[in-house]
Amino acid sequence: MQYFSTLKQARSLITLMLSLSLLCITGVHAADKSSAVMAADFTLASKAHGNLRLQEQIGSVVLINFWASWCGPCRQELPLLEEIQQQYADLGFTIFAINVDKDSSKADVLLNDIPVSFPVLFDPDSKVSELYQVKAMPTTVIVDRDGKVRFAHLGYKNGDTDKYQHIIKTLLRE
Amino acid sequence: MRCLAQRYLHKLWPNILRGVVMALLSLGLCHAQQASVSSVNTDPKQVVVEKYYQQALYAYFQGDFAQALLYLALLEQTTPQALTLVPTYLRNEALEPLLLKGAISLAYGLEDQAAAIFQQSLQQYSDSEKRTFAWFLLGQTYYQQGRFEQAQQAFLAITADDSLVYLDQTSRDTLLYSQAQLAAYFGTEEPGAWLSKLSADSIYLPYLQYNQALVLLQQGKSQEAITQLRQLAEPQQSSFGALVDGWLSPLWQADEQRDGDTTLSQDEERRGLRDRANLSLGYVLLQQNQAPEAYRVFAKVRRAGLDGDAALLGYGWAAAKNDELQTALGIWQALMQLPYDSSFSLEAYLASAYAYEQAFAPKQAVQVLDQGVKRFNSALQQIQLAKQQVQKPAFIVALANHIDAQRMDVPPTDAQRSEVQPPGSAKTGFTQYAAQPATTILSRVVDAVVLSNDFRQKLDAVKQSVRIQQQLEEWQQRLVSYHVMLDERQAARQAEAKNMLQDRIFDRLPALQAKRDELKQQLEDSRSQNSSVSLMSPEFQAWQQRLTGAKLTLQRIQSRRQALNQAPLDEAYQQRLARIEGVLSWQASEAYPVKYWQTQRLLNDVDDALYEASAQQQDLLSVINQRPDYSAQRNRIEGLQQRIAQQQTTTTSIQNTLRAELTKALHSALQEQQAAIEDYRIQAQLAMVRLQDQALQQNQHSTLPAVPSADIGRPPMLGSGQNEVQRQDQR
Amino acid sequence: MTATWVLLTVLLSQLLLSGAQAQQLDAPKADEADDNQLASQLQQLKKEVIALNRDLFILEEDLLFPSSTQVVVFLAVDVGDYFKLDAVELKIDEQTVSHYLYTEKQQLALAKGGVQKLHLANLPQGKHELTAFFIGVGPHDREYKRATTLSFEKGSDAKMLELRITDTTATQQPEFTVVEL
Repeated sequence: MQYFSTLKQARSLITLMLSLSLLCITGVHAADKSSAVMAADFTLASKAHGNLRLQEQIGSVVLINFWASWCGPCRQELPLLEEIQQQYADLGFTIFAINVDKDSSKADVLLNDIPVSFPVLFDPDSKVSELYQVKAMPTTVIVDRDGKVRFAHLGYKNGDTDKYQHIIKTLLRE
Repeated sequence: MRCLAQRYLHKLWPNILRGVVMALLSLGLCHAQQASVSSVNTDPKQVVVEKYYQQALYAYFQGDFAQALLYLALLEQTTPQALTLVPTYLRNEALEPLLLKGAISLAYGLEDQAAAIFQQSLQQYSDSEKRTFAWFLLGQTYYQQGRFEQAQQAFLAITADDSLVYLDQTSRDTLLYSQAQLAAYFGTEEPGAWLSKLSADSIYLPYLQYNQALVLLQQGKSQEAITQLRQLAEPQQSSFGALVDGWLSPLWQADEQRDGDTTLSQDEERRGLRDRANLSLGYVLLQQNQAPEAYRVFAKVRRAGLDGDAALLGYGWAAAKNDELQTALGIWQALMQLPYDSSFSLEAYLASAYAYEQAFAPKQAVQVLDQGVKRFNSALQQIQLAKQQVQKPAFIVALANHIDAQRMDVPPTDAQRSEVQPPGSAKTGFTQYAAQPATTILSRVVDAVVLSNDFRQKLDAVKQSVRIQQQLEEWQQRLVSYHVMLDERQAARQAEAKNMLQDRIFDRLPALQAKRDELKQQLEDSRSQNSSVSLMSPEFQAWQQRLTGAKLTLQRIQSRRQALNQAPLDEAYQQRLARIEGVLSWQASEAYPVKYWQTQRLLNDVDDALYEASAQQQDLLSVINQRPDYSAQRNRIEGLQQRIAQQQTTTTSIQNTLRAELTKALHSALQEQQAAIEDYRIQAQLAMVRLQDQALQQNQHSTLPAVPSADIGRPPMLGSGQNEVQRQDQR
Repeated sequence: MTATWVLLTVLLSQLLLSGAQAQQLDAPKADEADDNQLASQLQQLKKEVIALNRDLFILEEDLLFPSSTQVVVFLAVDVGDYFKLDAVELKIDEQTVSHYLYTEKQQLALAKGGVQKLHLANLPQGKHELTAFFIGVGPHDREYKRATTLSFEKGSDAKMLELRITDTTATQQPEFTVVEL
């Protein structure tokens, strides 16, 4: 009794891998899958990628980063995020960098110095910031392949991007 | 007479003309109106049907099949046979509503329904385009259900010309691939016959080529198989997937996304296929005693790919066959040092022992076997633990969620090179490049079991049932919130009623009634007195009063005068008063009818207002007293809640059955693995006994040089191993 | 020696077997009847869930948007050759009620004949005014911002309005209209 289509049957050989090992690194865990909440859906305009909707990214791991032009640590964080993007882009990973400045042109202040390849979204009315209850800059939220929030982190310190990397690797393997 | 008529005609002519023109115009308008009515169908049901259908299309083309089916279900509830009401201008791109419904049902997993729909379509349609699609989709449905004979028959009903004309490229490729698979299954045709028909950039092409190679191998035509595999092993130019167009495109895109890994680029797939091809080629070459070739081929297999371990083992065998025992041992040592247990790494122990035996170093062999036995024992322990773990109910559900994983081929960064250090290996080599793999034997076993289609299907069914459970749970909560909402509405209504009472909205009524009574009284008075004095304006009344007052005063003066024996007042006063009285009474009588009528009208108005106000009051009172309990809506909510609860129990029972079967499958796989490892152990123990005898008999140096582990980063040079050994002896 | 061959052939046959199994179709199994029953149960469950979804949808509409106050605004696009829709802003009675951004996927779905339920509102009976702003990219990559307005009368039945973007090949310009359905 076959439930699947031919494509899946054919590809089952190549597309399988199971990893039951959770990556536990010095206390930084990805949240348990069964208790995670769905990430709130939104559509925002981006700088160069058209309008992007979170729900359409289901199937990829998404790192949502709220940043602003007046936030110093964001300036440090952006190039590191670009590195992460380059590393994992082929494996089903994307970054949504949401700029919350009321005047969207201020984002160029940072972006002119730090070119990024991931989509930069604009939320001038702070609709999405309120949705995600953003209280500090920058805020990072990592969403897994099923659209569930697995990790949230306020602020940025040196070494935070390594934590993100570990989480992302775990989620990519799921 | 005639001049009269002429005169009249002359006068009437413009009117007649005008009349005729108007008639014509109105006729024209009527006609136009009729025409517009027929083109713009104002039937509200038709509009509703159209809108539901178009919303279904919107959801379908975004790949949201559940939503599309929802809208179609809503559509069909408006009228039976609603699908036939969808107007033709909405049926573009061969998008027959019935076929669309069937396609969406198929994509969503409702195969029985889809099959029924397609069979119905075949009975209904005689148009060849629609029939082609119907046969194609019917065949796909049967294929998915496992009814292969019927699938084959369905596909045979499509002629090649039809498929070229009507089907888009991806559908055509799918059709060809399915037919190829079916042909292989029934043994009628070889996969190769279909190869030529597939489009060049279809992802199915390498699969068919590989299958054909396997078939050739089974038939014993090794040379041809080798050529085929070699061809496959060549890195092909990556082609971008054919522009998926045509109305069936969401189905094919959904296939990619259903696993949850939209990232599975075709490149990745092709690389995996190439690995597998290389692996098979290597083994075939080994069998054909072409060891050096086999070497090279094994080296091409990506170490981190799915077949990396097998490749290593085979690589070792290639070296061994070439009498490169040192290399072989080095390779197998790398395998043995891997942190996880796979059948390949465990076999490496036995293989190394064999190599040592060939190298006349039985003591080493015994050592290795000893290590091996220890390893085997630990592996067996792990299996015992795994068996227990598999029995837990949450395990299967977690498995279902994680099964959408994709084997990662992470290119190593500097950070990773320092990170991934399997214990004991110091050099860079193949092992460093492995993505952090599953470290338990359970994961390896699950990997193997999951290759079976049946297991995967059941696992996916578990996953779907979990999703359905979540959905039902969410609906239950929503319905509870609606109950609360209705309560709130009820409370709000009652509060509103209280406010209205407090607003004294009903005070108007008595005031009106008082006014009415007053007016009525006035009328009565005037009627009885037959004078309208009471109806007159206040000014008039004032005059009247003054007159009365004046008369009184005059009388008083007269009487006083009389009493004081003075001369009476002049007649003139009396006359003036009489005259004024006369004027007033004349004015009154003149105004009487008008005034009467006015007052009557006022009375009527007040009556009306009173009536209205009392009616309003009645309404308000009835509304307040109604105490809306929304009973009808509450009943509906409860009905839905019951249905949801019912479906929840069904889902749970289905999930339990599936879980039991999956646990059984895993358990038996673990059992198999256990048996295999126990077999290894026995072999090792037997070999140990044999070799220990040999060691005792032989004169053993204990100073044999240690075998250096080969640097497997690059393919070893042929013959270099020997040189190394010699060099070391010279030290 | 024999050990080698045994091992080798075992490996090769294992490989072939696993490969063959994965690539080719499974033979029918013994307990197929049970599997069939399970599968049909699952299908039945899915159908019931769709029916539930449908009834829930209708109930929600009745509770939250009764037809006496319901106004629904649709968006339809007729072949997007001349206009790529980026966003739509909707104002009812001078108040912005919806600002919707369209992704590529949604634009494609619209172009293929889909209609979006843009907005659902409760309005009291009487006269109302609807204004729609269309923002997008027209032919020659020019940015467009167009608006249309419609005054309508809300009666006691549910009101359906549709925003239409049509291409007129005559002028090669997109046309924006609002109609009552």
